[in-house]
Amino acid sequence: MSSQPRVDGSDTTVSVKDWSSDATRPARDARVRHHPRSADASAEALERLAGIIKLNGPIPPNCFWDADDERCDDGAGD
Amino acid sequence: MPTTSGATTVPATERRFSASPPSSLYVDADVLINYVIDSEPHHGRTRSFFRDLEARGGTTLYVSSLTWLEIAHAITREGFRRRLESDVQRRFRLDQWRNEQVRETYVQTFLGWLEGLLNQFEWNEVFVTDQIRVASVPIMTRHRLSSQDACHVACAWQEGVQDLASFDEAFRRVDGLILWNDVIHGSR
Repeated sequence: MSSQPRVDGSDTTVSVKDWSSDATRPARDARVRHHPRSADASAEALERLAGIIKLNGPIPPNCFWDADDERCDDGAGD
Repeated sequence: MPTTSGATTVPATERRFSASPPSSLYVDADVLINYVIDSEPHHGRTRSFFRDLEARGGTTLYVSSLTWLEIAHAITREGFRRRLESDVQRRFRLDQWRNEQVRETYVQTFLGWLEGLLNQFEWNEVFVTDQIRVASVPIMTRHRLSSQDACHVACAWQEGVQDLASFDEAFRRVDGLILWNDVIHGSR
């Protein structure tokens, strides 16, 4: 696991999995990867993540998942 | 609920978020998104729900590998990025979306927040294996679910999890499912 610099000014640490060097990488035939509760978990940490992403208004219905909806933009590749 | 074959299926049992939480709960991506985005319509109820789960303890969360991809897809859509507050857009330099480093930092940061949310609990990621693929298809056809929704049900059921949190109305058609949606679609 490697750390990324924080970019939002909050006190939430962002980390990115690097499974190529992870000794606990699941076996090839594993069905599930188990994650214990973080040692840093707390009600305060949970609360800090509530609403951490700020949008101007709600996402219009059907515009979140449906890539085929012509009324919505699909800008992943733009 | 009648089916085209004339058979009757029993719809999902719906739960309010105030109910006593289960020991194992599969969480759909829309619930996670409603927690981390404060302008989403169910942010308040989702916030209370997770707070309650954390306070009570004893609930293990489940997601699928597919969940991460669904969320990555959603947050990279142009319409989503355009709705981000302007200071967030500036911070991530989203005007330079063609820059790979910009995209990488943005996506990994957002997914990191979601992982941070899951890390407040004990949680399991269910891999989309060939067994899941095989199990998903009949679930998809029987309950008229999208392929992704059927995959989530298959992932939950493979692990013996009957409780699924989602605001997606389609899951109401799935008999045998205990659907945690705070009964937002109204009681039947």
